[in-house]
Amino acid sequence: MENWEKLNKMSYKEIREMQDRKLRAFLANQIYLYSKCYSEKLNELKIDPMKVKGIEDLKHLPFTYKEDIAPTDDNPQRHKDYVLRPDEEVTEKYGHLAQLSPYGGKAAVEEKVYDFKPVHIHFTTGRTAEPTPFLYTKRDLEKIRETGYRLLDVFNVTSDDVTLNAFPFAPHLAFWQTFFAGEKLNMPALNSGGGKIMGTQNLLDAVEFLQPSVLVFIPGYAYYFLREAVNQGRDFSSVKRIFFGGERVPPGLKDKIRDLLIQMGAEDPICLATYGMTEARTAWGECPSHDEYFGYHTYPDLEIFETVDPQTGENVGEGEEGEVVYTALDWRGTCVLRYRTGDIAKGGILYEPCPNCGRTVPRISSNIQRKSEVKEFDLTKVKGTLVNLNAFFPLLMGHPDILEWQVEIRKRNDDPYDLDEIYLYVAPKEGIEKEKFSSELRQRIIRDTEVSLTDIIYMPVPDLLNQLGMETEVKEKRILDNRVKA
Amino acid sequence: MQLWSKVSKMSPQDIKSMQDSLLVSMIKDEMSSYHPYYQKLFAEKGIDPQTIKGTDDLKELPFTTKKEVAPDETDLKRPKQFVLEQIREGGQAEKKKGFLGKLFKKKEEEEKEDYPYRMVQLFYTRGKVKKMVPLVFTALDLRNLKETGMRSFDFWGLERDDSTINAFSYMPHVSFWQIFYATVEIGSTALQTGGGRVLGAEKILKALFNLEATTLITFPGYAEYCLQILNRFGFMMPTLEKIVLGMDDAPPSLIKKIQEGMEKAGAKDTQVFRSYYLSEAKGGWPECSPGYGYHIHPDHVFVEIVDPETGERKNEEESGEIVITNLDARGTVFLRFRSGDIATGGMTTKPCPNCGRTVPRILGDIDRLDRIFELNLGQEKREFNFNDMRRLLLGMKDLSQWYVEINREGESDRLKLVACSGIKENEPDLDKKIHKYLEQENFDIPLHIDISSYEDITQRQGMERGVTECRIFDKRNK
Repeated sequence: MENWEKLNKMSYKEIREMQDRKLRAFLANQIYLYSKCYSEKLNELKIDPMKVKGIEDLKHLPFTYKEDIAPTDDNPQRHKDYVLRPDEEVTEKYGHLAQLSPYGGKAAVEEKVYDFKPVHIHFTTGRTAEPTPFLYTKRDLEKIRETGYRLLDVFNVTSDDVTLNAFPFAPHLAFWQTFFAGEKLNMPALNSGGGKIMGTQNLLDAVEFLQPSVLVFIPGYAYYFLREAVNQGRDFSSVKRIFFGGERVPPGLKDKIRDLLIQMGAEDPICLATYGMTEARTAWGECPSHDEYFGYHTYPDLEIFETVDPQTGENVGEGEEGEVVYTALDWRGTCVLRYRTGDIAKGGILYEPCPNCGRTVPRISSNIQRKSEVKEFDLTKVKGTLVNLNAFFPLLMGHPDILEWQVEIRKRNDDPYDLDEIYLYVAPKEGIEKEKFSSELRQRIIRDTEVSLTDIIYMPVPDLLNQLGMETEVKEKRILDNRVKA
Repeated sequence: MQLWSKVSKMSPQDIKSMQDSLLVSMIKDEMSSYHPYYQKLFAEKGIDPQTIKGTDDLKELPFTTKKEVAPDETDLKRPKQFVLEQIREGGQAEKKKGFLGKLFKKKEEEEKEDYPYRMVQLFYTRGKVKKMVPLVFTALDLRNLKETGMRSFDFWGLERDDSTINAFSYMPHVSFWQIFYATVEIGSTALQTGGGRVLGAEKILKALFNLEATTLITFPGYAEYCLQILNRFGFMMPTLEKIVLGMDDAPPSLIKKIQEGMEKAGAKDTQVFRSYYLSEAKGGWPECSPGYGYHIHPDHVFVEIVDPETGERKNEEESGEIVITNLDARGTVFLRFRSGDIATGGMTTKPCPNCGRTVPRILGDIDRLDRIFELNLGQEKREFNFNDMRRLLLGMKDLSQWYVEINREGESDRLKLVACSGIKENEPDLDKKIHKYLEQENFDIPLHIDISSYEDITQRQGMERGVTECRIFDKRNK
């Protein structure tokens, strides 16, 4: 790992050269030797890893997709092929010289093998495929600590801050990235596990006790939690920053959350967003700003990002919309190359220094959408309408008059061959005129999603919270696809 | 904390003198000057901290109970009174180093000076009776938590070649985090599942299988539950060698059942271990083998066993309530904290006949005072010790899952046991068998028995929802 301060000042050319160098070494000395899957792929494609010069040659490597790694019934251990592990054959083949060495000999080789031993595991959430394990070695834990430190540095968080980590506990990246970041910074923290673990009331009490300056939440739960705090007249004057992970934060929601914090005494609180993925085993922070978007600051010594046309797979230019493709650099454990994230960066990748903080590391544009949330619906007799479910989030999450919402997709009459229906359950703010509100909402939904709602169903907040699983699920269920299958 | 290889071989006299000196330093250097609660208490009661020369003098000090520590609606910050102040004038190292030391001191060293006092993690008690109590852990406390975790692994023979499933229910609690820190420190492969309440049994069992795990760490009820599922569906887990139990008491009869369950699942050379966690003690105490007692870390905490009624100190191996005093801790610290847990076999300072370690041991089962109820049976009032009933029922051969309700009917209290004998179907006459078994074991409180399904019972117990399963529901006045 390079020094973060140094990285932040490197020119584009220097970063590129460093990445070329690291990619060459990583492919030849680690991936080709120790990754079963990639060594087979390289052999199949007759790519000599010693001849790869740098990023320019990446395009000759095939993409890796979620489905390639996810366990199947036939091969539940498929993920192991992506884990760097010197097996007996490799150790025998390359370790003999070291074993003969007078400096450590056999014991040194054994220790080296332990460097590859996984000690910690995260799983993907399993929304689109079976949950897939991603493994960390001790060396990787140092990396996740360092990247956590970098993320907090982007957010201007220091060891003088106090953090309430309310990400739901699971063997998932969000909770653990926050924990390791705090550990590296030696920052006081409560790693609560979220509302499901401690309960909202205990978490509210914890804020009184801890007086945190930093809150870490998933957006939907944060909005509920802060409304509850306002209702109880709690004191949140210590809070300076709230940062989110797990899902996107629409601008309207940021405003609503900021307003709630201000109501509870917080002075000029700032809402910050992170972007992370289990496959990369780390997360990146968005450069802090109240109303401008400067993108997520990446770690060029630990990864290479490309943006490609989602259809053709061709690389797109700087700042052009494309699917984010990730390649690990210098990690151990589970390592993926040219991994298709399924996330579309609307503003692409930017290599210019950040106009906000001046850091020179590559930035992924703030507007990221999940490609996989585009689903096919039979909404009319013309089958196969494509609906971007992403569009519901900014519209409904950021709506100033909506407290909670949920979208349910069903089959008419629960008949698998009938048309699809879309229902919106909504708990609006008190005092709204329902008829006017419904009509305005229907129009905005048609405009943003191009679908017409079957019905809008009004519900009291507690009932809808229950239906969302706000305190019982790892993440609340905003969109339910309850279509009966034939 | 000191070197374990040294502490585990110390004579009782050496342990006592080490504890005397640690206690004096804790009271003199920390509590009397920087502890808001004890400073005030000493002043109010006219206690001169200088007169405390060792652990024998602790008897002169009042107990601290959960009531004094737990927050309530009127005072959510009450637990802060038990946290050592972080900011010290000058700082110990600075005083020692003098002017030149101060002049040449590096920034790093300056930062290290406050590290024992600086909070890094906030943990909580489980809040079984009162509200959950926040406990401040400093860097020194986490270092000690790692050390006690490593010592536990030494007891259980866990090494870096092991693969571990940490299925302690996730809580910001010492049990989960001690195992996490120890697995990372030792470098063994580990999955921190968060228990059934996070992942559910199916995923935990899959992980056990896929990781070819050698060790499962969880609470007793959940270990039994997982094995029942494995055995019922005939799944084999031949790599599983060890199960470590904690967060609740596991009587020997349950340990036997668990061992049988492991063998049924194809495990060989099985071992089951127990550990006793007490949040306020800031760590857990392991057993080297079931029945030999929980081995205390005498360089970390001082333990007394007292009469729960009178508060008098008990003799060796006499049953009584566990009372702890932190000897090497910062952040939240306690003097004579009453745990509400009863060591049924008391405490001994004799060397362990199994492992030879000389540290004090807590013997017998751990009973909870909050599991003792008063029943109004119409004609008479009776004490109902659910700890005893739990022990009996957990050991009953044909009983698979169960829970007990205390209901009020008119003016009288009634006990109801809801039970089942298997996952798929219940044995005929199960209720009669239970009545007979309890009668043989001299359980003489009238009991109504309902037979229910495995699923309904485990659901009611909160097996996949709670921190541990609940087997007693006091429904009176509710």
